[in-house]
Amino acid sequence: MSSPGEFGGQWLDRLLHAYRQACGEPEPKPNFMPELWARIEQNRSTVFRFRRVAQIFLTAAAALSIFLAGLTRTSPQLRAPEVYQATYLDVLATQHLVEGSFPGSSSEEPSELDLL
Amino acid sequence: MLVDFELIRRAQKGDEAAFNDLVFAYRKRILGTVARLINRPDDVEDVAQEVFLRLFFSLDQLRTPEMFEPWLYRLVVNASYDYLRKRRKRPEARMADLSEQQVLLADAGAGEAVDQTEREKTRIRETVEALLQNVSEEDRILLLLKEVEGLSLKELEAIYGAKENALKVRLFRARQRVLKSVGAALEGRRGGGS
Repeated sequence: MSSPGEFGGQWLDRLLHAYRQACGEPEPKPNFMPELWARIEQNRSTVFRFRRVAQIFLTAAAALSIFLAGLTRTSPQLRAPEVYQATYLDVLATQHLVEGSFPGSSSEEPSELDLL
Repeated sequence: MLVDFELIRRAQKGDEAAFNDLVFAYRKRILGTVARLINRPDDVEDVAQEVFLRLFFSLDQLRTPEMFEPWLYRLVVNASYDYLRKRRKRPEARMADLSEQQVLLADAGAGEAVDQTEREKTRIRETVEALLQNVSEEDRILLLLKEVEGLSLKELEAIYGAKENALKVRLFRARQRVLKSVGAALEGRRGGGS
């Protein structure tokens, strides 16, 4: 009989070794392989179906994008307003023109009435 | 290795006959390991099939055939964790629930000249399983892989993706916890008896 102090590492090693021998390796049932292949097939068909749906969705998305791109190019109503097509310099130049034509702006020449 | 690298390479390329041979070679070992990890005889085949199913769909990701066994064991560990997570209700046997007879039997089981009859085998299994309830699920699985399945630290390193030293520390602590609980249970019973 062992005292508690004797429950050391070697004792545990021996116990686990005995456990390994006591367990052995269970025999697989005869239908292990057929069942496994059935599961593989089932999963494969699910993956295949998912891939097919994803492919259809991708194709449809690509076709829709091409269609919309073509539509915006050909239809004048759907084309972006000029302000969105102008460059930054164009916008600045337009703004400057607007400011220059304002009656109260500082860039305006003094009128005769002002001089009087 | 139970199979040669060529068979693994063929299975990786989608050769179903090669994969079949691979499963055939490893199924008994995997069934044994899964049985010890999940501790539920009724579900062992189901979890083992799950392991091979995952293997079938992930084999092409294996970089070298040399890493096949650690790869397979990683799948075993992951499938077992997933199963245990689903079935959280583990038998709540604690060390205190172990009878003195069981502890003594465990001691006898650890003896070298023990003729293991079926009854003794069952008792040893029950005792060790109850003992291992004293450590966490992760440590129990690690301890079983190292001490019962006989995997090396290098293999465990590949399975867990952890450093060898960290695994050594975890193993040491798990062993200490098990030993401490055996000692405490025996002390308690002797103290109670006197």
